[in-house]
Amino acid sequence: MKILIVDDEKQNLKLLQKQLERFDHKVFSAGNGAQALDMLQTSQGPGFEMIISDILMPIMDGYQLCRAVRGNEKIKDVFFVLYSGTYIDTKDKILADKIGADAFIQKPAGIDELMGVINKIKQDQKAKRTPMEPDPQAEILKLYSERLVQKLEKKMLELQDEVAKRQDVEQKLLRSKESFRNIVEKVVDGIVVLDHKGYIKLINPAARLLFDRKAEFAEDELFGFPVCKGESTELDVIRSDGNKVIVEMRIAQTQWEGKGAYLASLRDITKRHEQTTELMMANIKLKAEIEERKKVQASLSEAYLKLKDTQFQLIQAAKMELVGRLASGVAHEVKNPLAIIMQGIDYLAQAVSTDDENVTQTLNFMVNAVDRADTIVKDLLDFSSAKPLELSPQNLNAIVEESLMLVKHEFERRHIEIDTDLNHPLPCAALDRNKLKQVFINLFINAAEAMPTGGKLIIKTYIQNLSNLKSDLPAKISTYSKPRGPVAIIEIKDTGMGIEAKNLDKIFNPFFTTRLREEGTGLGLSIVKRIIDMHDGRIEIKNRPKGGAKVIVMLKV
Amino acid sequence: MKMGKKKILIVDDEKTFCWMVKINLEKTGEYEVKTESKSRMALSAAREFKPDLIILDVVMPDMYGTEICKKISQEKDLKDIPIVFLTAIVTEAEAEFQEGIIEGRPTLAKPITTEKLITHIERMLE
Repeated sequence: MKILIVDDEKQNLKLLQKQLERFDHKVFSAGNGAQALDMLQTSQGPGFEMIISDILMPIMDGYQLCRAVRGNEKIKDVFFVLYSGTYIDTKDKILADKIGADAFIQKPAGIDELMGVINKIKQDQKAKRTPMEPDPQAEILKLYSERLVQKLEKKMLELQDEVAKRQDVEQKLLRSKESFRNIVEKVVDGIVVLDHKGYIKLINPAARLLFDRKAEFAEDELFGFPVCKGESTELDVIRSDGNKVIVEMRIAQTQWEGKGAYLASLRDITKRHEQTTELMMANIKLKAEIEERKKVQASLSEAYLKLKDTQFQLIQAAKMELVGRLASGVAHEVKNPLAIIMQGIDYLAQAVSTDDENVTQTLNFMVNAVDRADTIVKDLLDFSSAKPLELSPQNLNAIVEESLMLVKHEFERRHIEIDTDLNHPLPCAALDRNKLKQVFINLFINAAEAMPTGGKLIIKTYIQNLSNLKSDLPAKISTYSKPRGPVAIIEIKDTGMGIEAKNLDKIFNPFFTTRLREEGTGLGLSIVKRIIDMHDGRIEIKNRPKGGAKVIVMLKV
Repeated sequence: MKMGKKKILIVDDEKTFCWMVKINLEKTGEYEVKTESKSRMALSAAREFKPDLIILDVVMPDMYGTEICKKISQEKDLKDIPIVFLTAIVTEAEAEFQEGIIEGRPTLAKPITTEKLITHIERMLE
């Protein structure tokens, strides 16, 4: 159908048009009764089949339009539906009938209701249309006025209501604006809103203060600082007084006037920065102090260990001194009786008959026994001697050669070849000549006795620089390796019987001997070791891979 | 030229030792030996006996041999008499290799054989 819809509110027209077009009706619209009439009269082509009209409209209302349409010969048969949003009363219906409307619908009507009415109208084509009464105009006018007034009053109330609501909303809006103002104007952090191009859309007083350029940072000016969403960036801002402040800027995305925008919150972190820097400095200082303390602690530990070592050595020295004194006392007391026995033997040797072999034998045994006792006393004294070394600058090679000279006959007797490789010159060192002679003599004799049927003795001397050797003292007591630095090394190698592996760690023990009773006191090597220790040197004895023993003596030079 | 027996004075607090040395030396027929076991008496014994040689022990109660030696060397009549120390406080090695270890005087170590003793005495009396 070709339908004309009339309403002064565009929204209503649009809505109704849409509804009707869904059912393939051709829809035209007008804004008031006069306009509608005009359209009806000037329409070309097929005429309008239906009019759906609002009632309260300016210039010509719905009622008037209906009467006008009905009074117009050309268009009097068009279906007319009154469509009103105001309260509908039975009197409205009566008026509608009287002026010739086909139906009266209340807004808002669903599409089903509308369609229902339209279809019914089409069905009842002319059934409802009451014939126009000649001139009941007064009655109609009265009703008309009444209905109109009613409707107008109703409308006015609605309008008043709406106004009140709007005022309410306005109030709320105002308060909201005020709150917004209170926040934005008073917040201590700076707030800047930028559009997507970087122009300032809003800048609060705090922000102006931060940048200290009131005039420059006006709205719609370019912000000028690069914007990184999500991260916080630090800006260096030079104020008008020349001072630099550090501003922390954090960006969030937001909307401004319907478009995407950036919200920057700004904070002066100059102080925080300073504090952070201070903290970092303090931290560095602290770390340095800790390092210092670690060093101090390390040197304290070292000093402590040194002290412990010294303590241990002092105790050893004290012990040795005591033993030494004891030993010399004992030695003296033993030697005197030995002297008497010796003299006694001498006398008896002269006084008794030498015909008896046993007598001679007895006397010899007695002499040997006294000698052994004497030797043991001497060795004991040597071993426990508290006498300090008599140091003087010595050439080690010379001492070696002298000692060798003294025992040469022992080697010759056993047919032992002597091979010397003495590195000349060895630097002079502070040594006790006599004691070292004792050491070498002892070591040479040991070597000789290990080769009863002949062999070879190899003596070698040389210099070496040692960095760090383990000390002979138990590890936990002494951390001081000896010797350190440059040392003279004397190697004495023989081709003899060597030393049984199980005895190797005992050979320096006092009284340890593998020899027969008559041949040694067992103190020899322990005395040797003592003398070397007193020189702060080191002695090692090992077996040679091809047989025989190797003695290595190391002395500081 | 043999002028009779050589006079030896031995001072040692060990009486037994003195006795043994005396009989061993006198047995040779060459010596006349006087023994003294009290250090304080050593000087008077020397003055009286006028020995050709004095053998001194060192460690003695009352007065050490070294002190006796000093006193003797201060006396006009005695200072020229050769003195030898015979003592337990040195080892044979020390006595042999370190001459004059005690008071710059020749020293012999105990115990000692008579043979060695005589050898030394003879050497000193030449």
